Amino acid sequence: MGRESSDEELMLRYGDGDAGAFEALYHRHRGPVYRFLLRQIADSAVAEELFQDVWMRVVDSRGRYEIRAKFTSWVYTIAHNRLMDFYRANGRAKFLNQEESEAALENAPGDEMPADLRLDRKRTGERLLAAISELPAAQREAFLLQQEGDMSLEEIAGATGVNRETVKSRLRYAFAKLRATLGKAS
Amino acid sequence: MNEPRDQELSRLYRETETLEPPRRIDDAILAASRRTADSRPRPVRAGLVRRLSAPMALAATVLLTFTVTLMVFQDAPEADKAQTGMKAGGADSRAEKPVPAEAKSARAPQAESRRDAPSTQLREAIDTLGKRQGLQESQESQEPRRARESEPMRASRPTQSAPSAPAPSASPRQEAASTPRSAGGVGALAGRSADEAKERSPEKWLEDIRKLKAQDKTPEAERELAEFRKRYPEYRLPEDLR
Repeated sequence: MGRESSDEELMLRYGDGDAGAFEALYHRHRGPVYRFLLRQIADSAVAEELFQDVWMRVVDSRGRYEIRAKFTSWVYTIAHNRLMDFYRANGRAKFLNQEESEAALENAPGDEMPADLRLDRKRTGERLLAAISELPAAQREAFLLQQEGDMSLEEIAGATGVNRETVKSRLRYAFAKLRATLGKAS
Repeated sequence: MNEPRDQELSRLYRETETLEPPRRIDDAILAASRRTADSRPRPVRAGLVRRLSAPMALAATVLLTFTVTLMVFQDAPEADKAQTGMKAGGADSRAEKPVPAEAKSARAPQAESRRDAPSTQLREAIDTLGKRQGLQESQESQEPRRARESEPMRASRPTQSAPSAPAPSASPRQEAASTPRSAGGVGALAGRSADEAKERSPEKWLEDIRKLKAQDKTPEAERELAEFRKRYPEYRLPEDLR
């Protein structure tokens, strides 16, 4: 059996008129992109609208697509931009670059996961999602891009328009806050 | 790489409810993608062609220039030889005889087309030279054969050592005239001169020597005679030439 086509190959094939290639690409990324948006917005109707908009932009860009970066970086860049548009349109821009203070990071618990965190996965998962929703938007976005998009620091930086160190910092704050929340809840 | 990644958090996150978009959204997006795929060709190809057209044109120009240059340099030595031969032959004729109109007309275009002389033009030049040489020979019948049969010509045919072909040394002018011919492989002309050398019988040679003596060209006659003796050591010389 031949190797699985890469995202970029599928997109190029779609550009050549292969609708099946797009279908494969869509099914590969529909869940992660949707969850990325939904967990940022916490409103399924808006998330669906943004989700559809993101993919329609991919469809419309088929003729201009060139392999300059990973397909996921490109798609999440579109998603990020749509989110920014949404935030601005709804007066939530102030949340976009909100950062935690150094003190918050210093006071956060260590890297060790509390022992009882492993007991009830389902309940813990729910608490984690709640903690994620309470993260500052920029940190939440960095966290979701890493988890859903499986993106590196550089790719997240490229998609969100900040430098690598900023992404690194946002992730550290996000991890610290999530651990702290889960620790307190337990 | 020092990339912050919390494996435990990642595992917990993956175990959370895996939400997915509703089916109707999927259908809408996929339908739109199919419509777009069917409706228009991919314009990026045109963009690609547009972007590549300039480099491709440049590459084609460079290739063409290189090819033409290569062809010119390959033809140049051959054309140069023909040109040199024509010049030498022309000097010969100018010095001794008027050039026939036919030869003049043939020489001019050949000289002009020095750079791109094809092999047919080269052959024409050789033929013209041959005709000119023939004219000279018919008008110089009283001069010694030595003036027409050159050493380089013999060198071009190393097997030409038959006793019937005397080969006196050539003058510098003749070397200049004949070198390009022999070096350029002007076989017809060289062959014809060698045949004439063969045709000159000992009696004819002796007759020529007598003529030289009669013209008070004693040193030349003696040189010819010495050459004759060397060529025909067994030949019994007539009384008047002993």
